[in-house]
Amino acid sequence: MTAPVRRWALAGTIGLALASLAACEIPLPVPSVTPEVAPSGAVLADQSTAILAETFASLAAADAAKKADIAALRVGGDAAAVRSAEYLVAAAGGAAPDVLPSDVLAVYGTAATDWPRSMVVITAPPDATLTPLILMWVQDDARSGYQLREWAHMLPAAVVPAMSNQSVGFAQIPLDAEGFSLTPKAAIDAYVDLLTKGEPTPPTFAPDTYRERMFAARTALAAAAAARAGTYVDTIVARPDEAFALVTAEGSALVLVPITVTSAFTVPGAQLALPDSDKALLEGSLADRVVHYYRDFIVLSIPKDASLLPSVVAADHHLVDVTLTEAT
Amino acid sequence: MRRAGAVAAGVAGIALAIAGGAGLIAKPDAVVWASAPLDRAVVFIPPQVIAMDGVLDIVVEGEPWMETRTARPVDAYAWHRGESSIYVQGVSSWTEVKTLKPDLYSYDGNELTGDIWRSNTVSAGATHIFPDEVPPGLAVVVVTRSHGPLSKISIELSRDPGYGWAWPALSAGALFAAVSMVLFALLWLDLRPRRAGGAETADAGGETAEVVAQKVKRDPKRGRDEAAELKAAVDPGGTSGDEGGSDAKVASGASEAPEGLVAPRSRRARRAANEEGAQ
Repeated sequence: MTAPVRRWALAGTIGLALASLAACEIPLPVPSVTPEVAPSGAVLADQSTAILAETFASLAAADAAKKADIAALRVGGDAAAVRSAEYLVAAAGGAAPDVLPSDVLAVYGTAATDWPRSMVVITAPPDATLTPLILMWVQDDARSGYQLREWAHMLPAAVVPAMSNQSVGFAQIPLDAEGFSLTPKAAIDAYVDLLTKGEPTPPTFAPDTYRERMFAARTALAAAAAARAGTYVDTIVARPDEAFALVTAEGSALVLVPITVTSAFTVPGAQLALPDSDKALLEGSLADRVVHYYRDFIVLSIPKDASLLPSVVAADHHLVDVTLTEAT
Repeated sequence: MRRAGAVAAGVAGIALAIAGGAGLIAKPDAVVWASAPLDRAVVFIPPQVIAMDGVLDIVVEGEPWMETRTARPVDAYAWHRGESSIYVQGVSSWTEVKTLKPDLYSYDGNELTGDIWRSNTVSAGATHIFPDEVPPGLAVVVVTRSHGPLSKISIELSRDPGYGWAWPALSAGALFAAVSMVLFALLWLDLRPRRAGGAETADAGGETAEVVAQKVKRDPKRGRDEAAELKAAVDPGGTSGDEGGSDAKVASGASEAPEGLVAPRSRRARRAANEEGAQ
């Protein structure tokens, strides 16, 4: 190899080596992978524990002050209205406010990715004579806190279907969702129709003590009014916009729906009288007509199997107001 | 052949050593920091960025007190309402964090946490977000308590510099260079005994008749008399004085001898012979 050839070979080799250096460009990392959220539930145990603690603490403060608005951040909607009425009734010598135990048996959170969202809690029985309660919290939007909106005692012998645990969360479904013996909306309408018109034939719902008591009271009050040529009318209206339908672990649906019951008692020309507990809620001077307003909360269980009847799992009849005429 | 191999090994060794050394010098850092300024109270870091290859640490600096929250991305996005923060989108270079700053900025300072957060930690001055400590799939939101602006976000990235061949190349270059040196050394050692041995024989006056005859053959200008002179110079004792015929015989024989068997005469031996002849 002659000297010039050697020099060119050496220069070429070095040039190739240096050129290879320039070709080494490191690719930038790109955020391409979207990891699965695990666990996927919207409200995990830590979150619900904090929510419950704040709710029961604020409720205790409101109970002590007899003012529901003290707990406004965590107690709202029907729960606040019912609690306020209970304070007034209790102050007038009526029944004490419902005991809402902070000792919970189960917490069910949603898997929803939109709002509003619900959280369902089953408490321990307040005492040996009462059944456990089902409480419902609602979160209206991402920046709102969960608020206790409804509660009702479970009916005797009622069973809450198994639900997904919090790490997974239950599915919130629209009221017209199918796949059950009835759609949630149809079940609500059917039960309101039943409450309004009485037991149909054949029965559309399994027997429950809630409607038995309502029908018994209606029969007695209607008879008392009729004896003096008066009337007693219950007007029952569901509030589907505030209802939630959940899918249980076994594929059935649980529907939590608030309803408004307006009971108007009229005896023309009469001077009606009310118990002191009801008078605490009355504004104005009573004459021949009185209207009681109730904010009830009903939990319906709709089976997947069409051969089974839907049933009421929990329901309470909450008096919130007494007036002289129906509100317009 | 051996010489060509030594040269080739030497060239390859130098080239590889230069390339390897240059690679080591040019090799970028395996860990770098990319950063970007922040001028808003909230920064949103989606799970895709946290899960990006090579992210070791994310540091957000700013107000004395800040909260670092984690939530499902859908919840965190809803909490932001889409217009109130800086979104981290990744890195635009190894030194710069890519961010999105919506023009509409209206942080409303709502104090309610919204119950959507899986965790919420408070830190002072700076907060470190280590991907290993964030549950998979969750977004991270850093928000100042005073609603004052954050100052800076930095992402520590590890990367493969891509010069893994540099050390092997440098090592191979050194090996080739060593092989080349050994070959050159062997070549040099191979030559040295023959050169040195020829000189020593001449010095001792022991150069053979064949050698002398070969000299004659290799130097055609020299005539028969010169050959005789040389022989006389080498063998002054005339131990082969009766070998006048043999002289020609040797020369004749030498002419037939294979050239490769004859060691070349060294300059030193020739000088010694000349000196002795002159005496």
